[in-house]
Amino acid sequence: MIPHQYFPDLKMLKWDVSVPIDRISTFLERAAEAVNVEAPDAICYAAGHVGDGNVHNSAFRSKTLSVDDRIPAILDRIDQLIWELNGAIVAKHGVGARFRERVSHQKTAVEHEMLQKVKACFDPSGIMTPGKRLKPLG
Amino acid sequence: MPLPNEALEALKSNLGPNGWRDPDEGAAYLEDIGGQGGRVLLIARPDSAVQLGDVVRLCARHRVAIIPQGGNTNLCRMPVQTDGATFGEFANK
Repeated sequence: MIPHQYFPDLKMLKWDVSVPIDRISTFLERAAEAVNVEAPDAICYAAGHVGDGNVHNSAFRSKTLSVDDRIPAILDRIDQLIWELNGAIVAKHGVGARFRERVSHQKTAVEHEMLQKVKACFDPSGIMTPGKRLKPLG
Repeated sequence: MPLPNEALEALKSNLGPNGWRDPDEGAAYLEDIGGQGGRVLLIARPDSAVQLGDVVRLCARHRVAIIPQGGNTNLCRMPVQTDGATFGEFANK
């Protein structure tokens, strides 16, 4: 989710989603429905790199969307939808610090811990780009 | 663990006068589209793989964190300090 640069009073939600190509249309339809449950006046649109299964889904120009307490529920609905469709909530724009918590739920706890342990092998002191991508072990 | 002053000075000397920036004069490196990041110890701008290796080795030896930064066009709070402590930062030209 990033702030809306062009309408300073309104928030824009923007996703960098990957889903299997044959599920893109299902995703777009259900994502718009999910957003509108929480923000009925939000306008959803998408652009993307369809051949890669990568969609930039967006919701914008909505007064209800700009109510901050609606946003976590919208993000959660869309994350659950993406996972149900066997997709990923971050496709290619990076996890960084912003998406670290949400991405940690994309795999099972065991798989997440395996990733943490692989990183710890190369970076036992946790000094390589701390705070990004993976939570520290323990 | 903070970087000892002599190590910091050695790093600056290795990088040369154009190879580093004082964080107080490098505001553009310390923020991204998400806003201001945290404090860093130094903005290193290595000019070669050898210089980059020197930076990494020195930071690893003193347990000082490194945050890589490229063009700073990210959308995910990657190339700024977000983890509370004092970190070194290098910008990969």
